[in-house]
Amino acid sequence: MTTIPLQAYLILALILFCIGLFGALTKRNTIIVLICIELMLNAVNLNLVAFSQLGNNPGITGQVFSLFTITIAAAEVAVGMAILIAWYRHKNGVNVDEMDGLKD
Amino acid sequence: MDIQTLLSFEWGMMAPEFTILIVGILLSLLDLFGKDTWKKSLPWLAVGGVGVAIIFLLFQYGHGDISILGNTYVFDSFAFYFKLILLIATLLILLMVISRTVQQEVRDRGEYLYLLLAALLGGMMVASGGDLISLFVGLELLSLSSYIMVGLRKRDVRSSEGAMKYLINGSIATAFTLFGMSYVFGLTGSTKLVDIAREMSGSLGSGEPVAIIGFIIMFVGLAFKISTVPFHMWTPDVYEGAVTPVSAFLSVVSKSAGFIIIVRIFWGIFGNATFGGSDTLFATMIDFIAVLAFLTMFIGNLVALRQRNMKRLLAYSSIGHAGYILIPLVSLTPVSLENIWFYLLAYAFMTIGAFMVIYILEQQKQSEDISIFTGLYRESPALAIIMTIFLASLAGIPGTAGFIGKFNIFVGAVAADPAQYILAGTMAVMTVVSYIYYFNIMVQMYIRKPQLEGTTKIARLQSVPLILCVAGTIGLGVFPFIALNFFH
Amino acid sequence: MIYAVFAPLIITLLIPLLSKWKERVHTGWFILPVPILIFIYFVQFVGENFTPHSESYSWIPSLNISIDFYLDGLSLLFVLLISGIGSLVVLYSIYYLHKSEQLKQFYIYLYIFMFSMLGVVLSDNVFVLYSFWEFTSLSSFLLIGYWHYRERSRYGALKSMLITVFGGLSLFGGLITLSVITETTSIQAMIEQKDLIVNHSLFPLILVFILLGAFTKSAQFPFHIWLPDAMEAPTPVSAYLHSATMVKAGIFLVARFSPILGGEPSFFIIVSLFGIVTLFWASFMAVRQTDLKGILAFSTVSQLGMIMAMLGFGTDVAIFAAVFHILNHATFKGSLFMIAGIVDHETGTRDVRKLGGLMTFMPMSATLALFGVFSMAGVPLPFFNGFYSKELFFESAIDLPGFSGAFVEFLQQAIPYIAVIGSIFTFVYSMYLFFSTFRGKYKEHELKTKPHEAPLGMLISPSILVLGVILIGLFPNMVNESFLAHAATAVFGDGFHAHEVKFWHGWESPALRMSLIVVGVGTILAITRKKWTSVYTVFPRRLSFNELYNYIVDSIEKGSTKITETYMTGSIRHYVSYILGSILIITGAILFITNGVTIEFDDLAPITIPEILVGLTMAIAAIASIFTNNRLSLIIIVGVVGYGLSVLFVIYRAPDLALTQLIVETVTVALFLLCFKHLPELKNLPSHPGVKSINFLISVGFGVLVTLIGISSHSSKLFSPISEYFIEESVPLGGGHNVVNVILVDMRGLDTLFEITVLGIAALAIYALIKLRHDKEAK
Repeated sequence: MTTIPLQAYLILALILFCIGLFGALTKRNTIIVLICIELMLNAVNLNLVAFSQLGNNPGITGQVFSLFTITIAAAEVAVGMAILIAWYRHKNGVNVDEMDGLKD
Repeated sequence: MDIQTLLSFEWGMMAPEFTILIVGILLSLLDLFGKDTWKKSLPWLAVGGVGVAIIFLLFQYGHGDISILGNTYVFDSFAFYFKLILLIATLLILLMVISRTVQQEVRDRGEYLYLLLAALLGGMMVASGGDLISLFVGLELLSLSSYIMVGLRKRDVRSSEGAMKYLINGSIATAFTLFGMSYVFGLTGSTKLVDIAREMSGSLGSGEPVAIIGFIIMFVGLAFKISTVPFHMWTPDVYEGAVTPVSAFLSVVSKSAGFIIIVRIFWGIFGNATFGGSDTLFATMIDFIAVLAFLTMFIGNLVALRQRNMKRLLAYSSIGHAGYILIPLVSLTPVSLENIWFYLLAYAFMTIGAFMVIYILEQQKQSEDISIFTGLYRESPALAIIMTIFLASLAGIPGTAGFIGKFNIFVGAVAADPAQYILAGTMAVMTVVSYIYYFNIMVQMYIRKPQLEGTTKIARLQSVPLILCVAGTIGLGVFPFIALNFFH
Repeated sequence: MIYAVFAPLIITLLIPLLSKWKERVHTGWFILPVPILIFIYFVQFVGENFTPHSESYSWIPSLNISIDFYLDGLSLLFVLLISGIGSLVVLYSIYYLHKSEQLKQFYIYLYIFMFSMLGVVLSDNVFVLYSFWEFTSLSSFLLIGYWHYRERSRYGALKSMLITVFGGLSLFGGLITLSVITETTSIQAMIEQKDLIVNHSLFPLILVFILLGAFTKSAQFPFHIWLPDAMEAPTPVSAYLHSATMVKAGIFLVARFSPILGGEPSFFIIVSLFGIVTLFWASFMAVRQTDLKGILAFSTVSQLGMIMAMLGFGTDVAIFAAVFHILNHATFKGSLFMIAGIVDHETGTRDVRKLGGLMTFMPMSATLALFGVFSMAGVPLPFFNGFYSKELFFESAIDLPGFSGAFVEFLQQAIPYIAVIGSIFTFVYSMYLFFSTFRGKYKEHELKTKPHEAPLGMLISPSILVLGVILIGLFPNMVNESFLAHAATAVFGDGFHAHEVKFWHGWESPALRMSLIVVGVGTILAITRKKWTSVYTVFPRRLSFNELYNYIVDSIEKGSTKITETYMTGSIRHYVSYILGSILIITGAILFITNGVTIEFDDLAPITIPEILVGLTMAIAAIASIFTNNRLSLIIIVGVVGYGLSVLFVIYRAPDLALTQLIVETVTVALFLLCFKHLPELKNLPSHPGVKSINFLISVGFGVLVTLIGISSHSSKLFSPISEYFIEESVPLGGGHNVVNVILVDMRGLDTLFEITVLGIAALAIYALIKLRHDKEAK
């Protein structure tokens, strides 16, 4: 079954991670930034599971770790949305670039 | 795991954690469903809970090292001492919340309370975590609660903006930490620190680059919590956006938790991993952390100079202090851990004290600008003198806790092998730079006329955390051996 | 002894009570006995058979720090100065400061200062000494800022604090290095290890650090700039801190460490050079001052330079002269400051240009000033003590220690000349100070009030000091054997022989000739002072060290602004780019240095088609997410990635995970949809191509870096797999067949519990955050 080398998964994870990163950097819409962060966390999960299955020391712990990660990432995104909505009420916009009231 | 095994664990060791958990749940329930008349006493319930937890914890003094649930929870002296800092600091911050005189936003009060406790719980979990998963869950409990606390100041756009920045930065940091953890896991096949350390204690061979990247990425991700360069930029924005007690919390409890997890992971795992044949991996990476420490001290103190908003100023000063605390991490002497602990304890008292003074003035003058200190000495000599004590301690003037802390770190750096002269020197120079902005506040207090007539009064409730912080700052400064003996 | 040191501190605690107890009585009276008693206590030690005393109290045993008091001749000299002048200053202040002033704080600060100064001179432990040292700076700061709200006071207070505390820190560095080398914290124990210290490779560093501390405190050139600005303090403070005691702490320090650091050419060069340059420069600058206290401030600086230079010479004559002059300077300068305060008090100004002819109005003060000024100028008459020490100074300047080296020889040639020139200027400003204030024409229209003699009480203290000037002048050997010799022994070492001080050495004495030159040339210059004004002001203020200080402070602040503006834009995107950019650089650099990445593609196995398909779909979807601006398609894309992941989990035989991922993904998509309902349409916001490409570079660079690592990680099979503990043990231990479930609820029960807490907190908080909508709508 394990015909796929670990590297392939690691590379996929990396593509996801990098795209997430690029999005988080470039996108002006805060929601998309959040989505991109979600992408990055997915990449980590992929990594964990791949290691867990195909890594040097296979074991189930990676899966368990992913379970925790998935749930907590979801909670994080949800909180992010709530804060975003609170912010939107003030600004009537979701542009990241408008978040520069605090500086110096 | 059968029932005997479960029962054989010393669950009593978890008493502080469970106390906090139960009080937290109780608070949230009462806040949601309780009558309005009860709500006034909620803060006291929280204070009581933390107090009881401290007492439970103190019973563990001198208890041998044990761990439960297959080493996922460790109760060693390290956990004990650092949990004590977290609990004391949270207690002081709760007292700060209670002392609020301006009754705006009363509705959120309950939420602040249980969020504080939840975050504290996360911090305690981090202190006891012996497994990457536990550490991660604890860290996230702390982080999520903090994000929300920052964003709770409803009608202030700064609050939402701060929270959003905090969340985005924090999530990216989490992603990094996890990424690093996944590599460490991949390398060793375990998430338990003990197992990881054992697996890594042999030669890493060609796994070295993975270990290195795991090290760096994890460190950078965790650097977010202690706000060192390069992950420090959120700090001033978030401190400014949050209500003052929350800023104090982030600056003390959250930062301490960050240091705890860093010490736990990096000394625990990489301190054993051999690298290139002779040195440990951690020893090889010392230069990396030293560079970060240097940059952190440099940027934190230099940028603090031009801040006029007091919370931003303290934010930058806290960045500078984080840089100081990184020094014992790299000097690796037998007393390094003791030095970190003492500094964090001292830092807790003086920082919370300074935030408390700002909080009092902020409520009376509706401003966070440095001008709230103008002529304070004429308005309230007591408050001015108290603030002077905190400033002196932050600046590291003898007779205060901050001095002893800095002194220990400095001596540790010079006495280390190899001696960290550059870091020690940077610390000294940056301390001089920090004098400029700390003394500038003193100049404002003593050598200016007050802008408005009238006196600033300290309410009775406000005096409680102030007195405790002053006692801590002076006490640790004049009788540091009490704390140091306690640590041994 | 410890009671004597702590007495001032204890009394400060009582001051608030005392000041309220009898409000009619000036607070000063209550606390005046303290320094007097301390003085009486210590004066009993004076005697020819004096031997050093020490007392020790444990303080921080773990750091080897204990409160050790060590009373030798040097400490005794300073202790008596501190308590003696202290008593007089308190007495003087009772008349100088009116009851309506905030006396409470004034005396608290003053006594804290007295306490810390006593601590400095009595401590044998270097770290305790340093602590007291910084306290003196702090209390000086508070006292400077006591009176005025002026910009000038703020500037002065901050400047004095920054410079002295900076010096203190440097001293601290030196002391730490010393104690690391010698493995002791006691100065006396260090003296015994002099050879070790002097031959250590860090000796130059120690020397520079300690001397930097001493020079900043004792206002040596070029650090003297803080002292004139410190004159904003009330006059009793100036008399006490900024002339008699605190500024002499640096002198004390050099004297105290002379047995360790002295006797070396480097010590001689640095200390003598700075001392003599300070003497010259400050006396030169004093001439152009117009403020009474300004003249006295520069004069103090120059006299300190003179003492410092003598300590640098290190010969037994020089050391004795230094000790002698410390005493003499305290008497005449103390009285002069007090007189300056009286003049200020009675006329309302300290500007010499507005004063004149006060002799007729204030004959007593004028007489006292006369003695002080002539003693300071070194006029050769047997009742001015300043003359004796100045002549000893000349004597020692001719007979310098015989080190070899070109620069040393140059110094040996130059020092006597500079000494004479400096003394000439001293003579000039002394005369100017006296004659323009008390003689000359009375300028009625310049003064707001008609001057009159000061109240008698105010004159007591300066009178006592002037009495000291005269007595020492008439009987210069009075305290020689019993007192000064012990102090000099403590500095010089056991080989010191007491000198008999004589007024007349005969015409052949070169020192006398030098004195006569000083008086002669000085008189001419003083009379023709006005003609030389352009010479005295030849150095424009722009080139002074004051400007350098301002420039440094300014440029630090400018640098701060620049850094802040560069990166603190308040934009998260910039923050994140900086973070990632720096990570990229750090990681790349470290990998480059450690030379680590090895890549092997040997064990790549064929990939099955479904997996490729899933993977490709996810990758394409992810890439597409960057380019789309349609909300719905964005959600779909995210969904595709998430569901693809769960498919992969299935392939991995991780059904629990797949299920969780599926649920979470569904909920997330639903959440995004819900939010979009409330949020505005996405707009295609143009972003700067440059920014975009930088971001692209960062992301791709990061990706490549991590990919390399990832691939290399698999190139090495390091460890034998650990046993499948969980799979084997899940049924017997947890009683369940689903391994993941067993782990979650059993072995990781606590983690799960806390994770539930996370979720609960998140739910509550989201409720709290969203709830405000209703609150607001309700209003």
